[in-house]
Amino acid sequence: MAGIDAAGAEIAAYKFTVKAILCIESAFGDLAGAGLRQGPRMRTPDGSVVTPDMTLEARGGPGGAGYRAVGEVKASFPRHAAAVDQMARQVRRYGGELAGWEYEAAGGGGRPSDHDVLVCVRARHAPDFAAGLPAALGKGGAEIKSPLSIIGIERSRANGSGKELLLKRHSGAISHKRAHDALGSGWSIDARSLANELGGTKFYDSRPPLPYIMSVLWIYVIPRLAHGKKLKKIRMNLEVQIDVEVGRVHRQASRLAHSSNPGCVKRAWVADAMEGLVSAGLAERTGPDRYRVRYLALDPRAAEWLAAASAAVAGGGPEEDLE
Amino acid sequence: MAGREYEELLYERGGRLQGLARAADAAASAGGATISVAVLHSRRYPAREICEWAPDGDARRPGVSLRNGRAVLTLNGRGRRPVRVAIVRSRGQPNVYYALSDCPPADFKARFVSLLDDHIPTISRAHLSNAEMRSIVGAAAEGRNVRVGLVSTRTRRSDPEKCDLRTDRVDMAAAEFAGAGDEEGREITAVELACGPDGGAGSPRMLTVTRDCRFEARRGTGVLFGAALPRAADLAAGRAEKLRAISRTAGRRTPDSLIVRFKGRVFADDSKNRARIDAIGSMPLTVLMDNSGDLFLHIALLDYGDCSTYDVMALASDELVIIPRFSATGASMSRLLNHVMEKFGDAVIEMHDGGS
Repeated sequence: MAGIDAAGAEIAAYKFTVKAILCIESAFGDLAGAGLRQGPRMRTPDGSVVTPDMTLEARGGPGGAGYRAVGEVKASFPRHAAAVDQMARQVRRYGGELAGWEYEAAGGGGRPSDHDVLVCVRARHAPDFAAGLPAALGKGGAEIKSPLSIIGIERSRANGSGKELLLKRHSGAISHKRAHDALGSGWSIDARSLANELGGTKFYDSRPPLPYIMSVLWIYVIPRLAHGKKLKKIRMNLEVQIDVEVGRVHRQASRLAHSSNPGCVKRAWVADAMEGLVSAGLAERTGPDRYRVRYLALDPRAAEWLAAASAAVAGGGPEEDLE
Repeated sequence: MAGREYEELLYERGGRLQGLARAADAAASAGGATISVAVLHSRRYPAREICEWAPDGDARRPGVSLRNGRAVLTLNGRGRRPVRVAIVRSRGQPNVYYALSDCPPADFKARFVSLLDDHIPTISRAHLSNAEMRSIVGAAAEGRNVRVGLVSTRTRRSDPEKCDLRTDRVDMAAAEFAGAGDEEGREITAVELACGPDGGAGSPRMLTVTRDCRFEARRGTGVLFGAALPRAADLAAGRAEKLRAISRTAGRRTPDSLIVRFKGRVFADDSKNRARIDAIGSMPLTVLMDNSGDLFLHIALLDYGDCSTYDVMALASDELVIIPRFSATGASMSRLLNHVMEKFGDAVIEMHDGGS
C-alpha cells in the first residue's frame, strides 16, 4: 500500500523490530556463540542510562576471544533532518564507552568501548543508511571508535527452501571474523526453528502503538482469561462478559515479550490499552484496575483498531494475481 | 424391487456395512441409484453434532431418526425432494464415519456436504492431495481388474482467472495410475474408475473419487466398501490425529506447529502478500491482524466456526507455518488445511515440535 500514514508506518516498524531482534539473536547465536539481551540498561561515561534494542555478548574463553555488540533496529531511514541527527546522536552514544556488560571481555582489550555497533534495517533501506548514517555521524565531530556495520534483513529465496530469512552486512565491519564473513556474503537463519519465537513474540521494550497493543490483547490475552462456560461460549462465537484485572492481563501480556526481557511490558501500556477498550465501547471500568470486557472476537467495534494494527508497508492491492 | 430393498437397508434396517454393500450392488445392477458417500471425522457421533450446531429454525436443520441404531438424517428443502443420509461408523477407525445417500450426487454435495462444511465446526472432512487420491485408487486396484477411465484435473485454484479445468480419458490400469507421476502444476479433482469383464474402455462407469473426499458409486460397491473407503478412512484418521495432537498444544507458550509445504513456490514474491492474505481469510476463516511487519507474511487468523486462533506465517516461499493459539481444535485445523490447499495447491504436512 503506497499511501501509508505515519501511524501505520510506526506500527509496521514496531512489528519489524520485534522480528529483527529475533533474527539477529539467531544469527549471532550461531555465528559468534553470543547471547542477546533485549533492552538492557547500559551506562555511558557521563552516568546516563541508555537502553539499546539489544546487546550481544559471548563470554571469552581460553579458546577464543569474547564478543560484544550493541544493536539497534531501524525500520527505515528518517525523512527529516532533525530525526537523522537524533539517530546519529543515539548511534554515537552506543559507539562510545558503555558499562553494564554481562561478561568481562576476555581476550579482547577489555576496554569498555570495545564493542561493535550493529544497525539492523530493512534490506531495501540499507543503501540509505550506508549513505546517510556515516555522514550524519561525521557532522557531529569525531567519528565513533566502535566498528559500525549496517545489516539488512529481508526474506530472500537465494538459499533455497526453509532458509529464507536473510541477514546481510551491507556495509561496515564486524570485529568477529566469522560473523563478518558470513554476514558479508549473507547468512540465512533457520526460520523454522525460530517459528515459535517469530510467531509468539509481540513486544519489546519500546511502547507499542495503541491499536497494536489493543489488538494483541484482544487476540492473544483476553480470551485466555475466560474459563468454563464462558470459554465454551467464546468457542461458539457468542458474546461473553469477562471480568479482568489489569495485573492479570499484564502478566499474560508479558509472556509475549522477548524472552530475554519479560519485564519490558509496562503495566501502564496495558492499563492504557484497557482504557482504549473502554473508549471503543467494548469494556467498562468496574473498579480500580478492574474491567468488564464484552468479548466477541469479531465485534465490529474491534474491527476498526484491528484494521489499524494491520498496517503493512509492503504488499500489493487485493486485485493482484496470486502467482 | 432391488432398489427398494437397498433403500430399506440403507435407511431402515440398520446393521452392518457388509450387508449394505451387497444391497447397494444389487440396487445398482437393477438400474438403481447412485450412492454418494462422504468421509467424516468427528470425535462424537456426527448426528449429535449436527443437531447441536445446525441453526435452529434453519430450513437446513435436518430431522434425525434412529433406525436400529443407525442415524438417518432427513434434510427437507422448500419444494425440493427430501435428502436422506445414513451415517455409519467406519469399521477400522473409531472417529471416522461414512455418510451415505442415494439422492442425486449434486444434491448430496449442495445440501448435505455444504451443511457440514458451513455449519458444523466439529465435523471435519479431509480434502485429498494428488498422492492421496492415487493411494485410494491403488487400494481399489488391489486384486481387482479396475481401470481408470476419466481423470479431471485443474490448474491451481489461487489464480481463478487462469484456472483451467480439464477432463481426460486416460484408460489405464488403476494400479498403473496409482504409481504414475503428477502432471506439473495440475491437481486431480476427480478420478472415475471403470470395471468390466475385459476392463476395457467400454466398461461401465462405476466409482468416482473426488478431491474433497466424496465417492459416487454406480456399481461395484464392493470396491467402494471393501477397499476405497477403508483407505480413505485411514488417511482421514491419520491426518485428523496429527492435527488434533498439534491443536492440543495451543495453550502452551511454545505450541507445536503445523508445517504445510506446497509443491510450488507460492509465496515467492512478498509484494503479493496482500492478495494472499485476502485469499487465506475467507469465511469462516477471518484475518484478525496482519502482523507482517514488512518481513514475511504473518497473520493472526480466527476460525469463526469455533473461535480457534492461529499465527500463520510464510517463512519460506513454499511453506506455511501454522501455530495454534489460545484455543484450537483438530477440526478447525483440518478446515484451515483444506482451505490453504484449495488456494495454494497440493501440499505435504508435517509437525514441528515446539518443545515444552
